[in-house]
Amino acid sequence: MKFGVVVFPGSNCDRDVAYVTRDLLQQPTRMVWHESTDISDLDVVVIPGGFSYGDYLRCGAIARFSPIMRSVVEHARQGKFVLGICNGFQILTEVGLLPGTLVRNRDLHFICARVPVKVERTDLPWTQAYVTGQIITLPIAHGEGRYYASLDILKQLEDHNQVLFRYEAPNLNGSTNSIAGICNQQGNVFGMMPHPERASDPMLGSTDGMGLFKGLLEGVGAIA
Amino acid sequence: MGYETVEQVRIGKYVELVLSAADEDKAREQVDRICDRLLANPVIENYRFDLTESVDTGVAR
Repeated sequence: MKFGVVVFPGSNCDRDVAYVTRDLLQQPTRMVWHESTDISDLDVVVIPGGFSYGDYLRCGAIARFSPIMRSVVEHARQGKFVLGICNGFQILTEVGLLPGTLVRNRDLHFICARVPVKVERTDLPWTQAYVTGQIITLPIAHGEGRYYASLDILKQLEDHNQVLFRYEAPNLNGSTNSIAGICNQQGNVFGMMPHPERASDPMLGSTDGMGLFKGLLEGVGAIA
Repeated sequence: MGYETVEQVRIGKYVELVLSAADEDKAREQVDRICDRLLANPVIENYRFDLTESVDTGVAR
């Protein structure tokens, strides 16, 4: 299964993701510069964390106009898989692949912590390696990670079970409905604020994030 | 500071654009689209804008 990791000016978790998919999981992985547009060879596109374009204006607001994003939208439209982590999640909301947005944390400061996250649903590749209701611990590192959407959108998200990850108390950033990660209705586009790639190598103290990549490998691998 | 008269505060962004357009309607249309797609995120932000004809933009024409 082939992974592509998009690199914007200011991305800084791109190599961490590639380390997991290429080195730990032994899957073909290539870095995709944001000015390129041909990603037809990829099964899964990952939009990594970081500070694309220095987060100027709003997180993800400028990155979403990069040439690669048109291809990412098309990739998603074909039903192929797109994962946005942290800044990647923000970019996916800005480009409209996921609803809602991420605003300043409730207490207005950057949060760097390991937090308990509940796995809400496990019938999609993203989470199929976990058990429904399982509490895992994942690192978060963001200043603008508080999920926000209108009541209508929230109702849609909940009605269609699009919330895959939810913060267990304490919901440090104040996200609405404690949302940590959501997918689109089709289930092939997923965005999350926590960093699974930083919890995949045992040397870093936790492998709770590895399930996401392994689930993808099994789930998407079976389809592709 | 003792300013007990302050009842509410709002903080926003203020952006000035110099734009060349054939007429006011065209300018309005462009600015509206720029605000909607880039400068504001309509999910969380409202925007409004005023147009003023610029006589000297410092740009050669």
